[in-house]
Amino acid sequence: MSVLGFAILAGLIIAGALVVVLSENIVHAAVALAFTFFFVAGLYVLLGSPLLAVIQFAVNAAAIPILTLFIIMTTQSRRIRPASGVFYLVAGFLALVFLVGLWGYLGAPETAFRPLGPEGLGVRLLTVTLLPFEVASVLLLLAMVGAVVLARRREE
Amino acid sequence: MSYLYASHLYWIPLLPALGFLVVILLGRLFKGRSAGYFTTLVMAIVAFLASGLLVEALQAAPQWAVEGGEAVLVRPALPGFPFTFDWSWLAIQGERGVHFTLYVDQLGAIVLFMVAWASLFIHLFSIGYMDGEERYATFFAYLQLFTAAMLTFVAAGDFFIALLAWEVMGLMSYLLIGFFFKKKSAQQAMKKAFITTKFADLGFMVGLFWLYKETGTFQMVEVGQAAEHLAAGVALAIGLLFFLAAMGKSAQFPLHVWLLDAMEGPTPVSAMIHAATMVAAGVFLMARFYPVLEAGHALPYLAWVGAITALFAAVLGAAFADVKKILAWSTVSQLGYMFLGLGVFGWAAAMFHLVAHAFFKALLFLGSGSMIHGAKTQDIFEMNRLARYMPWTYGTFLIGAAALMGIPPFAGFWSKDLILHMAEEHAPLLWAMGLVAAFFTAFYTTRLIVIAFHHPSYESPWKKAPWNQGCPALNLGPEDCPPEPPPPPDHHPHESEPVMITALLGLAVFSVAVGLWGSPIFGQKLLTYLYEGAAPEILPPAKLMGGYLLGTLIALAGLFTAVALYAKDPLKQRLPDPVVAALQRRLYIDEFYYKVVARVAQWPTDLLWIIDTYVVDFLVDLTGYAVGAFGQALRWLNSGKVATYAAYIVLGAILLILGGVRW
Amino acid sequence: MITLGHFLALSAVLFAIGLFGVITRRNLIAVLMSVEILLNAAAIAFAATAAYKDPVFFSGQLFALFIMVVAAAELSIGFAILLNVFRHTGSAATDVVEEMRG
Repeated sequence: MSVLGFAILAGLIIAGALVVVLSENIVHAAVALAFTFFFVAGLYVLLGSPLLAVIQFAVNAAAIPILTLFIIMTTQSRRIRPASGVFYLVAGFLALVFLVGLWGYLGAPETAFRPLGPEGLGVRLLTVTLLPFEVASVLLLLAMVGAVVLARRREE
Repeated sequence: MSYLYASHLYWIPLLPALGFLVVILLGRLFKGRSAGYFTTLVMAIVAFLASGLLVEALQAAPQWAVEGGEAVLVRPALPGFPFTFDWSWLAIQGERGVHFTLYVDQLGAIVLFMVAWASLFIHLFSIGYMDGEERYATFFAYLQLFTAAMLTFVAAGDFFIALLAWEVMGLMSYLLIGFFFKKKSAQQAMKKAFITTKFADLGFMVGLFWLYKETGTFQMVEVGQAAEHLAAGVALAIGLLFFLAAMGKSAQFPLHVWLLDAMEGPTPVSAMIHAATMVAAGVFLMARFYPVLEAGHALPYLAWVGAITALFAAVLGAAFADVKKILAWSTVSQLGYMFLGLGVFGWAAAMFHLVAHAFFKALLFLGSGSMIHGAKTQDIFEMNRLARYMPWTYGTFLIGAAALMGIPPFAGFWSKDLILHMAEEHAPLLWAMGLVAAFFTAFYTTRLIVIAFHHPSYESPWKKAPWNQGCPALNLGPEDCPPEPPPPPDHHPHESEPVMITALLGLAVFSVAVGLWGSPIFGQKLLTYLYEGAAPEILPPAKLMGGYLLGTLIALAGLFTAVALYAKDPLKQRLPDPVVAALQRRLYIDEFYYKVVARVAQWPTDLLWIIDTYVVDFLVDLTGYAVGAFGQALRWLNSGKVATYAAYIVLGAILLILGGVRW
Repeated sequence: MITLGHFLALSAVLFAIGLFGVITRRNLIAVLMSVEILLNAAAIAFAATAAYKDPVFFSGQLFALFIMVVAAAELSIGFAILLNVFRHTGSAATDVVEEMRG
């Protein structure tokens, strides 16, 4: 629980994210995505929220990159044609302006935080947010059905 | 004290509304007569609920006794009475707004009871009467929605809700008059009814908004309390605006013209809407509005219009040959009595007459429906000795007719004589007009019975008369409005089927019972109950005796005059042609509307049309063009590239953030 | 000590990187990956704010959970659409779907 740990994790996360958005090899990007999300899970551990970290690991650092790799295999993608330099400039400028604009909000002085164990998170999930929880399950069902319907090969 | 029925009183208007939805949405699933059975079942439940509500209201209402002409309070109202149901609907901040308020006091409970039961019997009758018609289920759906609207209107505790229900009733009246819309005359009649009543409804709307501006509330109770603080002129103006609406709905002179032609609708509709309930809504509205009318001294207007209508409609009723139109004139005339009663401070008497009239007029109309069903004609001259072939119809019709004529001890006798008694005290001239109208009432009723039930079939003198070719009252020529064909010569009238007879018997029982309930035989219970003991109509029977005697004599005089004139020679024309023509063409009032009023009204209409086309439409088109041009101008932004769209999103987010930092 | 500001700053940087990716990437799969980064950036901000500022309900951490749910749903649908695009055009590049032009 030190600034050093946070700095290392943050550096790794930023580096991973940069690889995701810059690498011309899409497989590298997908693997970098997995690592980035893995380090974000570490960040959650740092925040004292192990359950969130585990879920982040299982869903974002494992399931999603694997799914992405499957799609990469299916579509036989390998390389990404880089965008033109003008585009990089514009996008970089926009991202920078965004960051600068956002910076004004970041001076939060809070120094102490409370950890939240798995039990606490679970109880709150099923009491405070019971309705959103149920809605989320419906959303997942919808997504599943929708994905099946969309990805199905139509026999003509 | 808890009230089982009163706490669920909203179900009474709600059930038929649901019934309407079920039938109109699932219309195709209702095969054969099932729609009729289903809606009748709904009405049976509603009638049951309304009866329970009435019993609870009778128990909870303040109890009065009459001792020596003075009303004595025996017990005040129980807590929770009058029954209310309140649902805030359009409550705008700082304003009272519109509340969906149901308010059932003594009067409301009685009229709800009347509407529910009359509607039940009319549904029952229609099962048989409408059999085999096209759009059978639709008919019942309309009846359901109409009943729902009428029940809402009666139970309404808020004038705004009353206005909504009032307009729904008008719409259903329009649709049901034009139920046989393939007939040109039905089309014309539905338009005529709609336009006439809509014109009158303007009075309701303008009056209502004015009232809200003055009192700041739509609630009937609060309006009643605020009435005495209104300036007299304002109260008079608002009262007359409301009275205009009531005149239109209740077909009072000179807005009576639509009701006769409303008889183009199926007979159960005539019984339900154009005799028992909707046309009485105008009277009911006036009753609810009474405090303002009193505050504005508007009552003499009611009395005069009522008396004129009662007299003139009764006279015209004696000149017609169509059984339904005779009864329609009779309805106009009886509604006139109700307004007369209201106008001479006979509030309770008028309400008594309203309830009694609803039952016996529904009975008469359903009886006429049975006659038409059996005889295959509406012309009384073409009907062939129906008394012989249709004994049940005949018997029940006689009960209704006796009530209408004012023969003791039937309903109309007690209620009409009470109104006349009040008129005698407050306006002798109007009293005299009422007496003459009573004579004609007995006269035309007897004429109808003698010719339709006792005489053989004749060639109708009505159809032969040159002034009756086509439908001048509907502005239709002979080619658009051919006379109904007479029944085939070998046609034998037959008695109607049991469901229809059951409905007739039920209404007969109710009409007798209601009359007795308000009669001095049973201590004028209905009246003491209605007006919280303050009814000036509650008199010791001795005081009423003279009036009763006079009423009976006049009714009998009318009866015997008609028998003397029509028993032997019904076809003989006793008045000169121009007089008969004027009477049968309704004193040319309808034609005046078509030829003069409609033409004058055309000029501003044309002007508005020009403004609409060249100013309003132009502005609307301009909006469309402006939007289109704007879209064209921004078309290039829509590149189709996903990355560009993403960049737009980011740009938007940045703008939001920067804006947020600044604030 | 780590302050809330540290987490928020990291979140902002991550978000900016994700934005950059969404705009510049010319492959639909890569765009979706960038969107995942955006969502994670938001989740970090939520979770951190909850831990520092909402020590009773931790609504933000619950929100982070729901963000994961939504991310999963979004990705599966996104990939399904992508498969359809791929079948139609034989490519997963963004510029093949330029038909949605006004």
